[in-house]
Amino acid sequence: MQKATRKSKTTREAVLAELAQLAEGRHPECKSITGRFVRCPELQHASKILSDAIHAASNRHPAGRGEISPPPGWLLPV
Amino acid sequence: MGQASGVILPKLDGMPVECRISAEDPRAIKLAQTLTVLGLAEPGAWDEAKRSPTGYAHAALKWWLALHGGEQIRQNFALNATISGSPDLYGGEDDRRELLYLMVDPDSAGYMILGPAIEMLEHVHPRLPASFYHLLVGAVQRWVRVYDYRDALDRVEMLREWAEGEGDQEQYEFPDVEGCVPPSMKLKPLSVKHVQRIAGSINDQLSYQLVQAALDLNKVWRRLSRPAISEETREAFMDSNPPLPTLLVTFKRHDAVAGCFDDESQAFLEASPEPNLIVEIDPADHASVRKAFDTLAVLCETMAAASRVAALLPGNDQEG
Repeated sequence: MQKATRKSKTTREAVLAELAQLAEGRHPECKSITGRFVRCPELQHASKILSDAIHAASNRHPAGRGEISPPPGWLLPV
Repeated sequence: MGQASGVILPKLDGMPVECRISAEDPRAIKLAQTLTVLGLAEPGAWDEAKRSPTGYAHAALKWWLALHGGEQIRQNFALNATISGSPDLYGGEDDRRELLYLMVDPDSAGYMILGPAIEMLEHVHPRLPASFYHLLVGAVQRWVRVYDYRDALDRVEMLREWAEGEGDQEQYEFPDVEGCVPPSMKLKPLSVKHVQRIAGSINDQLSYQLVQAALDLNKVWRRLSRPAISEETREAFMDSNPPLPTLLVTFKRHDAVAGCFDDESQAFLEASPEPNLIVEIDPADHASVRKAFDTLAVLCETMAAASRVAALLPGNDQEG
């Protein structure tokens, strides 16, 4: 019964309006940082370059050098 | 009381407990729009799908399957319907980014043992067993792959050819498929009209129900023909194996046909198989989406009707 009530609340027009927002990138979800990231190949590509660069740099330096210390009292990273 | 270690855990109060972003494929959004406009999706399912076009299209597919005999099909068949962005589920992405593909495939093959029904129908009319067989198997194989005695005969033929190449043929033993086919199966099937006339005069209730169920099945599959697929899509399956069988039809449990199936099934997945059904969908084109869903409906109703025949078959539900 509860399920049927919930179903009746969403109209065809409301669904179509929200889908149109998604299609045009106007949906609030598209505007968050993560939303923009998952939709933008250039952001993803830039992140990949940065991630690869960090990875390459960490491989070049011996372990322990240049590590950022955790704030006082915090658990050390595992 | 023990002394505090001085180590504290960072507080997570106020942090979001869920971060949900649907990186929706534009095709999924278009499909969701078309399904809504055509009334093929329930708007009420939008919230249940967490406002995800992919989840919403998936809910529409499930709803459509339930409307067209999903429950009945599940009693005898393990079929999956999928809408995918690539025609080859095992391969890479499709170059034609504007299309989606509706595909139907089995998890495992359904099983029908027709020997006892054939024996029963021989008493009604000598040519009725072959007619019943071809009405049933002919209808199902219009939509999905059926493995039956003809596949088994091909298998034996191929084994013989291999053995010939080996020289000493005597050392090999081949399954006797020919011997397990009832003699009445070798008679010419009757026309559908003739079967309809005979059906009206059958006194035995089970024989009547079987023939009637086969005639019903014969009506269902004809409602639509399988849509043609483009050359590009066909090319995706150039190196594929044949589709996985959705139905195995034998005459007795563990007969030579079942033996050939078991043997051949070892190689079914050596290469990725073609889907049993594939329909190209242009998600923005209403006619294309409607056609795909109508095709799925006829396939489902055919399989549901076949499932009703299976439920009537004497000896089909025995274990082992």
